[in-house]
Amino acid sequence: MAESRTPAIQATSVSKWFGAHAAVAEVSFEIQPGEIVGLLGLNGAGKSTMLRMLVGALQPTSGELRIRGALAATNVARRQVGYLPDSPPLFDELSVTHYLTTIAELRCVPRDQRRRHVAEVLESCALGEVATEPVAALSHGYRQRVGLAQALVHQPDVVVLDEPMQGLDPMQIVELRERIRHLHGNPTVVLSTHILGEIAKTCDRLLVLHEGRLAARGTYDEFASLQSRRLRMHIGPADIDRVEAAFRPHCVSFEAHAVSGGHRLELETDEDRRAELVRALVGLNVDLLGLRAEHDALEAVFQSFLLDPDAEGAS
Amino acid sequence: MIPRSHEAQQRMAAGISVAAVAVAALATYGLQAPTLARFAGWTVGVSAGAAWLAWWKARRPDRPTTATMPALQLVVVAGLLAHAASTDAGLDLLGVAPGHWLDRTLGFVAAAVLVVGSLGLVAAARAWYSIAHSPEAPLERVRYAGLRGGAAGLNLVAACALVAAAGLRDVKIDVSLLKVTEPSETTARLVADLPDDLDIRLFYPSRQDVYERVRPYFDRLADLNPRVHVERLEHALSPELTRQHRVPSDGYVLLSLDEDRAEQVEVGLDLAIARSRLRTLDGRVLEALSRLTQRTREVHLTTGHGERGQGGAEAASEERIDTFVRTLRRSHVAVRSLGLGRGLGSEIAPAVPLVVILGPRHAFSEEECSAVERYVASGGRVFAAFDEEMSPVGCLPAALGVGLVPGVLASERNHVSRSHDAADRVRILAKAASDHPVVAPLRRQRSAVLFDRANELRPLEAAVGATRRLVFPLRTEADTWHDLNGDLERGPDEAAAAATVLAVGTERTSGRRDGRIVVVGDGSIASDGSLTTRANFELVGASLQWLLEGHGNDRVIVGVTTSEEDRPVEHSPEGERLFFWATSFGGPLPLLLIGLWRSRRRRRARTLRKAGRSDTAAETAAETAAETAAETAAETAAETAAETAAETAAETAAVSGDVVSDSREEE
Amino acid sequence: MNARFGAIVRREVGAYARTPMGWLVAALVLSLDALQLNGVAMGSERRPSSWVLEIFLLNASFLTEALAVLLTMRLQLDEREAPLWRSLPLGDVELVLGRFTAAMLWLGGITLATLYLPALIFVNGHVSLAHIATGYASILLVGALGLAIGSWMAALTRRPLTAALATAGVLAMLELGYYVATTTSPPWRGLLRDLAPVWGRGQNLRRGIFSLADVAYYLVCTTLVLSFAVRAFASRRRS
Repeated sequence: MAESRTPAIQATSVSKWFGAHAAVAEVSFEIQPGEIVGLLGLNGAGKSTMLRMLVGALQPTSGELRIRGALAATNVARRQVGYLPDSPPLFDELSVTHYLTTIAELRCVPRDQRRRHVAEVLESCALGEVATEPVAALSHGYRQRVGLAQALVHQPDVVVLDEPMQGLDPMQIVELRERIRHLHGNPTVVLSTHILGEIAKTCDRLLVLHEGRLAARGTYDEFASLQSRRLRMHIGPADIDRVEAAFRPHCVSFEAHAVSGGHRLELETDEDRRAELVRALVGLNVDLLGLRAEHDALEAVFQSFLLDPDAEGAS
Repeated sequence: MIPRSHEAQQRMAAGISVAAVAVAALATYGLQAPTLARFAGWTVGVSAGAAWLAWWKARRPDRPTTATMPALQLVVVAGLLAHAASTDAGLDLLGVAPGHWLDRTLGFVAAAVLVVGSLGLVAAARAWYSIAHSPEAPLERVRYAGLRGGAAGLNLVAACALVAAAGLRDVKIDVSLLKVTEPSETTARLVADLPDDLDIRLFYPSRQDVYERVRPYFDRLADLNPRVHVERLEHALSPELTRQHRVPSDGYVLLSLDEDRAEQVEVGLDLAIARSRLRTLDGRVLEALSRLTQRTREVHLTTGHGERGQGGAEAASEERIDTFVRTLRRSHVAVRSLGLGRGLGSEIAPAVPLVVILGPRHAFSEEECSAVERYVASGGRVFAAFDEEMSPVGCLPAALGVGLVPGVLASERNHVSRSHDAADRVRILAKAASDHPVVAPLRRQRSAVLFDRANELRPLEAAVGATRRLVFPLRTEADTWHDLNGDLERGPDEAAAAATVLAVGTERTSGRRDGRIVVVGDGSIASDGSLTTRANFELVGASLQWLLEGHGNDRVIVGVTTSEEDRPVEHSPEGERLFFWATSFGGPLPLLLIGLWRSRRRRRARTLRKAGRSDTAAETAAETAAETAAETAAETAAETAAETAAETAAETAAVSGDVVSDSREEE
Repeated sequence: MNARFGAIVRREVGAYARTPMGWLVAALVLSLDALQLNGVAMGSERRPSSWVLEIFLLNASFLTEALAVLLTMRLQLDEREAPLWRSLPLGDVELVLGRFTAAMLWLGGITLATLYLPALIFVNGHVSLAHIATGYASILLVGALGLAIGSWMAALTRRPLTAALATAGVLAMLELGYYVATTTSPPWRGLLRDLAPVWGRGQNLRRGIFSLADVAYYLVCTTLVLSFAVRAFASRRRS
């Protein structure tokens, strides 16, 4: 019972300094067992550093990072973590089975269980057909699968995946997503990726890092509800000043561009105001030719950070 | 003491640093300061300089301070104080006598604390420097770096202490064949019995290559006798001594019993030249020691009967007796010749200490035989080695009281192989069969003497009487037979039995000393070829020593010295070519082939796999494309349906698959 | 040390043995050793065999130092592999010592493969087996020290080539110290001479003299430098 209450990952004021530069600064969060959490951030935001601290490859300069109660930089914690780095390190000269057996041995899997663990992970990662081939001869997709397999071979409680979708084709991405969502033993998964659409589809929760700090956290829906609505309207010929005067009470920003047969309006509202805007057009007797809402929450969040680093996150 | 403002701290640190460096430079170049003082000066200068640099770099008014660096500087100051206390003035002040344990302890503690403090300080300063422009950066890093540097310093001190301890113990074991560091048993015996003080002075600069090689040898001599003292001197620094004993330069070893009695051994300074001298060092030291401690004796070698040693430098090793002569010379025994003109044909002077007859090929005349017999009867000493090569055998064996049994001794099993044919059967081994001093070393070492074409010796009953005693302390194995017909095969009339090949006799006389004889049934026993066998050398050495004993009052030491001759790597010109090609390319080739084989196997496997998978890959790609297209279309349709305008469907689809950045994150 | 240490060693030795480069380097060292025996140690004049052996051992020691410098490139954690290795439940000591031990086994294997050369001197000349044994012990000890320095430099630097160059620099400095020593006065003279792994400390062993002080120097220095390597490696996690 006590174990179930222990967070899978607990970060308390974690900072990591490289010389005079803080790669991660005062980051705190908790991840519960079985959660799949995405770590988002721009290049240099501190994602990889954070992940490396999670797997014990780096030690925090200050603060505390615990994996199921054990300090992350200890062997007790490392035994419970599986890690797929951004470029999977594969010992090219070994066969897939030999490679996985070696990693299982290094990951402290007991000798009598190694064969079973390797067989299971070969099956779950669909590596059976290349099991005896040298890693060097594998395609990128297979190598990524082998990388994932080595992270899972010891059946860890926490799986950390750094850019797992990197360089995969759409088919492979879908396949990997499914694999992550149905990992054996329902482990906690932390992954980072640049593919925003994927993170929304894969993760239960998101952590957004910006310049080393935890800028936002929450579910995808929470981010979506936070976003400011952006609308694009196509209207027929109209007096654009009158339209602006009618829209102003409902819009944060208003931009109009003359196009053939009317105008294209780019609007930003504080909440969903489509009904009010359409009624205003009807009142002005202007034809509505088209209306589109842009609602990619993550991109919006990123853009808002880029424009305003002090913006508040979901929680 | 420590100013509060940062600027003032900088100025103070800079001042300390400049002053310390100036003092260190002055100590090094201006004053004849002790080495440790210079070391301490530089240490403080450099570490204070490093600390100042860090401070200077970190000069910001909002910079928080850390106690780590001042604390480490205090450690360095403590080291300096310990060092000051270990100097003569410091010890005076503390009332500690130089050489007291506290003196040595203080010296060690000072060095250790200085190293630990300085390394810690430099590491902390480096960490401080790296975060100079980040006031928010945690200061634990400076503390951690300081501790890490200090710990590394501690490791270094421990390592130095261990190496120094091993150096003080200085255990050296020479396992080479040409043992330079080990005195021979003969030299050791001579040194161990020395009744007077012996000073051994090695004229060499310190840490000199040749000196490093010879010093352990003399240290061993000093271990054998507390009266032996070894020291190193530099020629230029000992003008009186070198003038008195005429030591020309460094590279010499002076052995002196007192101011007047001294001998030199030249070894040299150039290792390439000294190499050959080092091989004979033990023999030359023995020679010098013999000259110092023993008076000159003479050995008279008979001539005129085709004896060994007459063939010159080009003769075979079985004919030469250079080793024998050199061994005698090393024991301060001069070698003279004894022919007809010097009394061999009439009367050998009783004053002659020893007559040596080595493998004559022609018989002695009756006069010569009776001269030898009379000489022994009057207390003379004779070492004779002959076999049936002496043709005719003549009267000499009888004059010495032995009979020479015809037929070369041979053995089918107990022989030493050289040519791996029947000729080897006459190279037989004999072992000590009594405790007589002549064979005592052999018995002690359980070694066997090698005889080549030897004849058995038997006592002549007529010769043994009340005054003469004859023993045969060396015997061959029981399977030895007399090869009477020279076919090297044992015939039916050639019975096998243990044979005696050495006769040792004493002749009681009315004079001051007894006559002594040693007769060996092998004329080549003292030849260079024979003496390469250590047991043969021991036998000849012990025989000469026994024969020379009692002549005068002092002991004679004759024996094997550590002067084993090296030999060049030998092979024929054809062999040389083969040697070159076989070693240069024959050895590495298998390794190269293994590498190539592995590489080819891997490459071939990869090619096969790629070829095998290309069809599958094409199919997979087609399937993937179709599925992806279908999935994307479905998603797009769903999203588009939610919106109003038809044109936005395409844009939405594009945005949903958008990638913020494809570049890899690099942190 | 434990099973994981064994796994690291096996994996690293396998990495040397499974690549053609490993064998090529081994063959090259053997060939160079044979060439230096024929061309340098034997000389044009008929040198005594113990002298030939001594010169051969001297040159072989330098070749072993060069081999240690080459192997240093493999001692550094590959930039790609480093995060995984560091995330494994292995101590820094296990990682550093595991890789060092594997390199040492490979270097030792190559060195022992050259034993046929002094064996030829033994057969055709007049040297003792014990002399060859002490000489080879000195080569292996020099190799161990070189690899320890390589491990340290590999932990301090970020690129294999930099690590190898730094190792070569340190070894060259130590060896050159032997000659610088001639221009200095005691105690620096002794200190500088004693620090040179081949020129200084290898002399006795190459001559067939087992010297406790020399063996202690190699073992202590190797241990010390390895402890520095572990420290530097560990500090990478914290830096």
